[in-house]
Amino acid sequence: MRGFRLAFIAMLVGVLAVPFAISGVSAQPDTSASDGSRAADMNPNCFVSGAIEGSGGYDPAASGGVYTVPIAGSASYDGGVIVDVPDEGREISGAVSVALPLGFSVGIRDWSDDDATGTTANGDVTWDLPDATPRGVPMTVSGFHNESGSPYCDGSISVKLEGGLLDSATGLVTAAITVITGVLTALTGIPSRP
Amino acid sequence: MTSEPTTQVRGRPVAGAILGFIFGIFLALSLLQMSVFALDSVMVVLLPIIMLIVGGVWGYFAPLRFLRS
Repeated sequence: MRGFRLAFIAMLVGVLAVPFAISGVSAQPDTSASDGSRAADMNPNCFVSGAIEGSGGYDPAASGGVYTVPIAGSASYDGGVIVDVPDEGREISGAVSVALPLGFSVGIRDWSDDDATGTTANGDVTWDLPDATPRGVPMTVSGFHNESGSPYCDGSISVKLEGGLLDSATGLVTAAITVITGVLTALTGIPSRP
Repeated sequence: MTSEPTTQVRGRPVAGAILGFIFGIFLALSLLQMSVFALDSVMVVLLPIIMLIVGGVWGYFAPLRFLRS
């Protein structure tokens, strides 16, 4: 029984120590644009690329790495499809979303047109997120595009805001509550008298 | 023949489970911001459930008897 008790204590201490052991590594911002790995299959007739200010270019077809973006900045995009367009246009649709656990997702942008004639889209986007926004959370951003009602291309990239747990007010509060609830949980291991 | 009185102690499995669950939620949020796993990872959901069970078992066995004077 004593061995079981010690093993249990060791396990809880280990769980409590994980955040602090890792924070020293991940708190340093990763400014690399990608890790050079190749993304999931992309139809060669689709293309999308661009550049994130201060972080360099991105190209989902060339890299499946994590792109680290600043909390405020801008990015350019240039995407399109290589397809024969009939004179009367064709039906298109598509969407971009952020993946959540258990298969759920949150839509960012979608498009559809019953008689589209264009094949490209480009422009710039800017953002300025509040300082309290949690940093360092890797998010999978997925997109797809349908042509004439059929899937034509899809792809995804991983994005995270630069910084880590201790770089935002939200992160500091999260860390504090984690420590407090961890200690309180540990204290439930002290038996009470009947 | 005399029997010595024994001091009975008991654990706190419900408190352990509830606190473990809350701890699991914030541990998952902390690990997310440390880039340990991605937002779509199943660990975001599993960690609170795991800690609920661990906290309940921890509170039930209450192994920190040496801290009870």
